Amino acid sequence: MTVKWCVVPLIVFAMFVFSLGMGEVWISPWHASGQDAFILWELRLPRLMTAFAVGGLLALAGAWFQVLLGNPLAEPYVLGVAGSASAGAVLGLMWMPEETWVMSLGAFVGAWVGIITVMLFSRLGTNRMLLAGVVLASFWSAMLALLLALLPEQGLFRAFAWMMGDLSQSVIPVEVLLGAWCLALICGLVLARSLDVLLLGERHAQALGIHVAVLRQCVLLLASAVTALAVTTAGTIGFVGLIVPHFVRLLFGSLHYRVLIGSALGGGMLLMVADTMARTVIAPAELPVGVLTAIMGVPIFLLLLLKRF
Amino acid sequence: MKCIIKIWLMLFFLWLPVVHAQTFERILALTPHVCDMLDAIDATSKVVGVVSYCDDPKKDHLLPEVGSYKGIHVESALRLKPDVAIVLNRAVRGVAQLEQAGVHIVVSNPESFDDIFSDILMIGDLTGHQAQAKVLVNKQRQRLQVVRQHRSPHVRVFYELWSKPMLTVGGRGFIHQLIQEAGGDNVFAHIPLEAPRVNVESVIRAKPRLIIVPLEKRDLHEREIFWWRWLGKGQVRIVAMNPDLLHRPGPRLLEGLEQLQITFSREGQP
Repeated sequence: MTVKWCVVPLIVFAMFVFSLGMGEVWISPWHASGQDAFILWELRLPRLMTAFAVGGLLALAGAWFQVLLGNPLAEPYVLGVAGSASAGAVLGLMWMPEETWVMSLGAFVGAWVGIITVMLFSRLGTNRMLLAGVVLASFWSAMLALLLALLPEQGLFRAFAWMMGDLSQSVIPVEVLLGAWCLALICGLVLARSLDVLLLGERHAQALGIHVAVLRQCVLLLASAVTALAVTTAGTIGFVGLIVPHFVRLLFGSLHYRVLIGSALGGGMLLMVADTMARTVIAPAELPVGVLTAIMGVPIFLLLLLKRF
Repeated sequence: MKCIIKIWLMLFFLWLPVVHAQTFERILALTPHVCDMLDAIDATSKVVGVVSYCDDPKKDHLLPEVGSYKGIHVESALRLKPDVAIVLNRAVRGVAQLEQAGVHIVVSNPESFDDIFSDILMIGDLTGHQAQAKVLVNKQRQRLQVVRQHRSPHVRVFYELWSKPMLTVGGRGFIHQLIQEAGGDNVFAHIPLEAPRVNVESVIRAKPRLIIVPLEKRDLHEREIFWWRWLGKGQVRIVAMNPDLLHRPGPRLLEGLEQLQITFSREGQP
């Protein structure tokens, strides 16, 4: 186990250097100068850090939702946050089509509307909340379809690009995202022990002095806030939040401090590599990153299902 | 036997122009470039319905809109009792139902200047405005010839079709042809797609001298600030152009081509 933990930072660093150097043309981070240095530090690095933070946040949210709902198939968008955020983003696009920040603001408000609606059902128990989330996800999908039908032609492509995941249009500063990544991980580590106990069952957790209801509310709020931030930054990027926590459990076991650290790093790494591929595969043209995470994620996850469940 | 065949052939060739010369009085113009063509040959009076973005015919006649790029509202269209509908392609939602209802469907989807000219002549035939159509085509051919004769030296051009997300034109499609006709070098001509998505890094590497932004002038300043930040203020010139002149494969396209050629010529001057 110790060897594995030593290897993880090395792999993350190697992937970081690879993603930084890789692009339409390979640029060595150690020998870049002039225009290459400008491209490396002004264009690639901020985008890379955004990808890392968003991927890490999504994986953390996925890990939290999986333990909160007691369902291995849970992911950050399971309670309809992606749908409500998308509907909010499209509303923002309709209101002020020229302003990117309005679209992001719409996504943020939409995500929180979705979260608060689901939280109203959280007192009724996990199953009812999950059911409410699934039903609300259908509602938000319908709202989204309605808004897309009313959206003028000019906005349609932008809306679809956002819904397929887009790291090039982030209006949130990288520093804020990395700060949120650190904060979310620290909060997660503080709650890790309680989450481990919660896995044994609610009665056991209560017997050991844990306020299960409070813990659930905290985790739901934390996971939802993190999801809202990730969606606002980069649109809806699927599968990172679903597969990364499972991978980490497979490699490092189910203790939550391991799952959360592994997810924060692994999710970041996966999205960083996926975005590098999106920039590189058909360079100088670019692919939507959400499509690549899905293409990479689906076969891996199916394999995981066959082996594990 | 030979005699019978000859008689049939004679009858066929006599019948053909009669069919070809069939004209229509109630036309649905279901794509903006067709509206432009009808307007340019003075046949707007025969148009009974249009789709959104058909701006020219509406200057004189307030025509009902029966759909958009997303599809046609069949009931509204049929209420206008059209006898022909000119569409971009048969896959547009509602076209099949119009055809089933007995409306004659004509497709106009030009991909080159020759296609545009032949479609103008075809629409001239459909409306009975053959003379106007011929005059228009002849004038357009002459103007095209003038542009081709005065091609500027090759200027490296980045055509920013869309900014968020960043889209450009690849080596396919008529906007790329337009840039070439005007003497420009599309920096992304090697991408075999019509509208590929690119990023700032690709544009920096492509080293364009000129960036064409198809939007109204009021929005140009924001694009200038953006591109000057990445490419340097003196390194690139950003020019706004009316998208209606460049994105519609109709008679206005030639005006767009002439404007492009003038812009490229200015850029090519020392």
